Amino acid sequence: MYDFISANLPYLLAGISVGGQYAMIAIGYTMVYGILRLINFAHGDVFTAAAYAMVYMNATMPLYLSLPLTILFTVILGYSVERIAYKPLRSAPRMSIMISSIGASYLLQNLMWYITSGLARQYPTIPWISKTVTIFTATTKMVTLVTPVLTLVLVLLLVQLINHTKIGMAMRAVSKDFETSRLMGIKINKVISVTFMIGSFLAAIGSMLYFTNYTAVVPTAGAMPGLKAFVAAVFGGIGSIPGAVIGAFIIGIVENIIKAVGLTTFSDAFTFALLIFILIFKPTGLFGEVIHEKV
Amino acid sequence: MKVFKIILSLLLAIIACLLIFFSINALDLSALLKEIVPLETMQQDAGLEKAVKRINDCLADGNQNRALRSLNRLLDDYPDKVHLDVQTKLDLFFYRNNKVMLTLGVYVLFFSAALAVSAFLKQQKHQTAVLVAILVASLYAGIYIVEDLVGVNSMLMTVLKKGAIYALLAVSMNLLNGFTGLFSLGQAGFMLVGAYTYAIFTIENTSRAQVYQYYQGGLVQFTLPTLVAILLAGLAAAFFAFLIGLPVLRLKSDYLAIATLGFAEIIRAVLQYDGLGRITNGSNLLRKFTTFNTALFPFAVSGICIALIALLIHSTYGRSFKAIRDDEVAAEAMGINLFVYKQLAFVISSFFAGIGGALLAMYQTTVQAAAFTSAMTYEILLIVVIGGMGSISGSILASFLFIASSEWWLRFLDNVTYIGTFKVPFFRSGFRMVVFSVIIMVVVLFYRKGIMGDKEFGLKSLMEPRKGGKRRG
Amino acid sequence: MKKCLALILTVVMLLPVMALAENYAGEIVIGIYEPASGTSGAGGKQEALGIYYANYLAPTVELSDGVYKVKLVEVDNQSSPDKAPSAAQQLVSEGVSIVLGSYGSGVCIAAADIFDAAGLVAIGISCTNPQVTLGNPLYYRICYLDPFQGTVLANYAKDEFNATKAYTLAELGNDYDVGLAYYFAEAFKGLGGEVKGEEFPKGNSDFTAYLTSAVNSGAEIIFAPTSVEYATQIITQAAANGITIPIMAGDTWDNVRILEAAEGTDLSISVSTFFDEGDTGALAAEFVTGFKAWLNENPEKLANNGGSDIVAAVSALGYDGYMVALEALKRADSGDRDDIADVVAEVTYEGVTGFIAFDENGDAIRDQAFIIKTDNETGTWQFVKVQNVSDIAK
Repeated sequence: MYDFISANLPYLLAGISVGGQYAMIAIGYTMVYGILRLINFAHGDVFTAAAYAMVYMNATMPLYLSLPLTILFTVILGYSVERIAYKPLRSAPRMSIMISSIGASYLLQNLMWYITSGLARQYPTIPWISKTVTIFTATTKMVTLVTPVLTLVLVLLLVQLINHTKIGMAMRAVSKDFETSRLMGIKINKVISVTFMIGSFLAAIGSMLYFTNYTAVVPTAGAMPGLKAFVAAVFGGIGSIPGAVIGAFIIGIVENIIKAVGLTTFSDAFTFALLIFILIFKPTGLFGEVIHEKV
Repeated sequence: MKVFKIILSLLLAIIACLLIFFSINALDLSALLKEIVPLETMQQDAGLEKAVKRINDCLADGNQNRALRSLNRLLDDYPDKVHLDVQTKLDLFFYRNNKVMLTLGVYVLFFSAALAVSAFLKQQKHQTAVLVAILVASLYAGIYIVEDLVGVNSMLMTVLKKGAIYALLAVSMNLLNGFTGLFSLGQAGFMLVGAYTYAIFTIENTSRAQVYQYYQGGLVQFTLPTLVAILLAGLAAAFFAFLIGLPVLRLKSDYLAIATLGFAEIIRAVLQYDGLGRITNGSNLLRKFTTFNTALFPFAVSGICIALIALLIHSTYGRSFKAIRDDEVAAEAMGINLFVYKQLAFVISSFFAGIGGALLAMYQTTVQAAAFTSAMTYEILLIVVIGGMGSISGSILASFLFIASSEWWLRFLDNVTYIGTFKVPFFRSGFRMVVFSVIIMVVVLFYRKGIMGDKEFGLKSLMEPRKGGKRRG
Repeated sequence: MKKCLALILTVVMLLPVMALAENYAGEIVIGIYEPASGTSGAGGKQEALGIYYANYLAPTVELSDGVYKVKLVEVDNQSSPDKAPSAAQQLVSEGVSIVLGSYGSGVCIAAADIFDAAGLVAIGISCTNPQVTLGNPLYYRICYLDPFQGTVLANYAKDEFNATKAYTLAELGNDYDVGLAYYFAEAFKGLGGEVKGEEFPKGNSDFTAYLTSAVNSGAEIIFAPTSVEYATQIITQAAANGITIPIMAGDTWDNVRILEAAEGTDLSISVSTFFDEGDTGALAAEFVTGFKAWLNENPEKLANNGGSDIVAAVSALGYDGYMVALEALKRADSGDRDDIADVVAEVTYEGVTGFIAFDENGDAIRDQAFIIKTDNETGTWQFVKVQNVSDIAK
């Protein structure tokens, strides 16, 4: 028993930690999808951009400045992506907006590639959470323990925000019925902007945690976590924040179990298999509401 | 009018015959060389003698290109020693441009025949058909001649080859996304199936031990003819599409997109799986399979495929596809079996994606599953959008533009450039792709209809308004 | 409108055709086919630096009809086999006489057929996979091969660490990684050891699970011949997870980034490479001092070398590669591709990394590899030993 735990604890820890980081990204996906019915393909790249912002800012300024500035930068980036790539297409067919999000993702990736020549950058060390700790038999970084706690705290705060503030109520209204809420005098654009900003804020936090663990930043670093986080969002029921978080943890843990049993080639493919399985048998996910397609 | 056409076609036929006659009768080079460099001049100069010997050696080896290159150098190096009169110049010209002149001759002959035929045709429809035939023939003759002039490995031919392949890929994706309204992002997966099927079945038997060095020479130990393997590549992709289509085609818009994207990733993982290594060579490169060395091949294959897709779109099936795109509920009410038609479009599109994948493998000369990422699908999707969703000619045009810009015209952006001592800002590796993606975003945002919208660039717009074929112009 | 568009399109497409016939009068062009970006970008830049330094020392070549200036044309193959063919194509159409490169084997294999079709000789510099030259008559190389390197490392693992069980980790689809791990495993099994091998997908950044598997498998040595980008992550995560098993890798790990990542940790990292900076031979010592001075002159070059003046083995090889190319030009006495193809097999050269001559496959006949390990306190490489073929045979 002791051997079994000591052999498998590291997998579980890695799974929980990466699950928490996926959760941070997944919330951004699920909120945007809830409101715009848009898979924001550029979200994973915003996540990467946050990491680069940290790398470059930390080179010139102390940590207490670079941390908040990175978050600010990411929030502005998320906001601008929405303004530039999605807002002009508000009345266009859904397919056009999705193509635009693919284009935005392509642009962000190429831009980051250009700036860094595609070479890996070392993520700066954030003190305390980079410290090494030992739990039972496993040695790991502090961030592994911090991530799930921080994720839960942020999610609780977010749920409070959505349930008990005016902007939260507007968000819920818009995601229920876009047209009617517009008629009711809700400023749609403002709601959408705030949604993107919240999503980007969480992506920035997620990126700090993620890259403290996995320290090399490359332009495509966010693509896979982004897709997986999206799958987590679908798995939990798109539009549902607790669903996204639970989905993310499940994906993070199962992914590491797959690696543990030696099927490493399939660790990414598994996520997609899960996605397809969910889409076919329970398209609304674990906690999603049934959306009726109107004719 | 009729008499005029007949006389003209006769004249052209005579010219064509002359061209063909001269080309076939072009002197052999070693005899010509004796004319150009007389024996006594040659003996006076050791360097010249060496150069002539080199040309003769090349001819003996059967390496004509190298002989011609050496001849060019000789003519450059010893302009005053060589003896060139009009007769030898003409012979030399025909010798050098043997293949081009022959093609030109055959083409002119074809043209004159078509002209003669059209003189006797009354119906407008038939005349148009003849015209289309002439256009297609001149396109292929043109490619052949240009290829011979600039060389197979020049950038122009590279762009044309890759452009032709991407044209097929874009049109096949357009069939699904533009004409049937199914937003699928599985293109790279089906291309991968096609590319691997093709590669696995055409690796030379003698090279298999080398290619499958980690897997005891692999399981497949026979080679199929190229065209059979290409067909098989399409069928394999279609088969996978059939299986995948059963569950996923019931999904709507973006769910369908993400599900097909997921399947493409799963296909990629499976083909990289070590356990299938004896067939797929694990995650390693496949190479040493049959490739093409002339741009005519991809042009012919994708030309035929695109023509087939165009015919399909103009059939009743095509009209059903468009009905589904425009309004699923209405289409169903009209008696169109949604699932069957969606499945049909999905399988057919994947079939051609598989063929496109096989061509891409041939173009690249090596193929590896790791390269077929979702980024590849996005690239093709962007081509379709730039060309216009629902326009075949738009997709074709956009493919050539896309490939030419990304591989060729914008390449200078990647090089650090100095004008005098002034260093042009921003120019360095990667800038090309930034500029390129900005252009794409501008198209996506402001020219949402793309180059062609859903119109076609046919003979109609070139000539008086009449029914025309759909061919690249 | 549409007619206009069509017309413009045709004209634009045809214009460059006329510009194609560019000639470098009195110049011979050598192509540099290296990654300047992507996962091998850091190594590719160092290799290119070696070539540029050699060009700086020997900017001309003397043929029987005069002295020619040697011009270098560099293309970036972006470390990716699917981007490589068009980069190779570009070199071919630039009219280069001979090609040098690349760092990383996959891109070489992908470009081999294109060079071959153009009759262009390519000299591989640090691509160690056997498939680069096998079946590609015009591809030569000046470094040793993976079967040799794998054997050297397997012997080292056995002798130095008394290892009987090894864990290998390679990137899926990377010919270099997969090949070297395979040859290491074969050699290690031949010595009576046991091997567990795993592969990770491209773009992976979570190595914790792999490292845990390594520990659980009871391995006494981890062999991870990956690109530098993954290597730094493996090192930092191994340190964070308290891994004490010694780590070994091939020539790619001979890079400043590895030293930076390993500095201050307790890891033991040993690497095989082509060249040792501390080599006291006259040629090597002269190269090292000259190259360092040249690097320190220019901050941009220093940055391309990873921000320090530590001489990477691939720079030394790059230098030798250029010199071998010059030898080939001299022997052919022309810049003509076919002339060069005829004679390149006969070229011999006494380089800073040792004596270079080609065998019938076009591979360099090499019989020694250097083994170095990280000094985690000073952040430098420590020379361990030279391993010869003859030592292994026993």
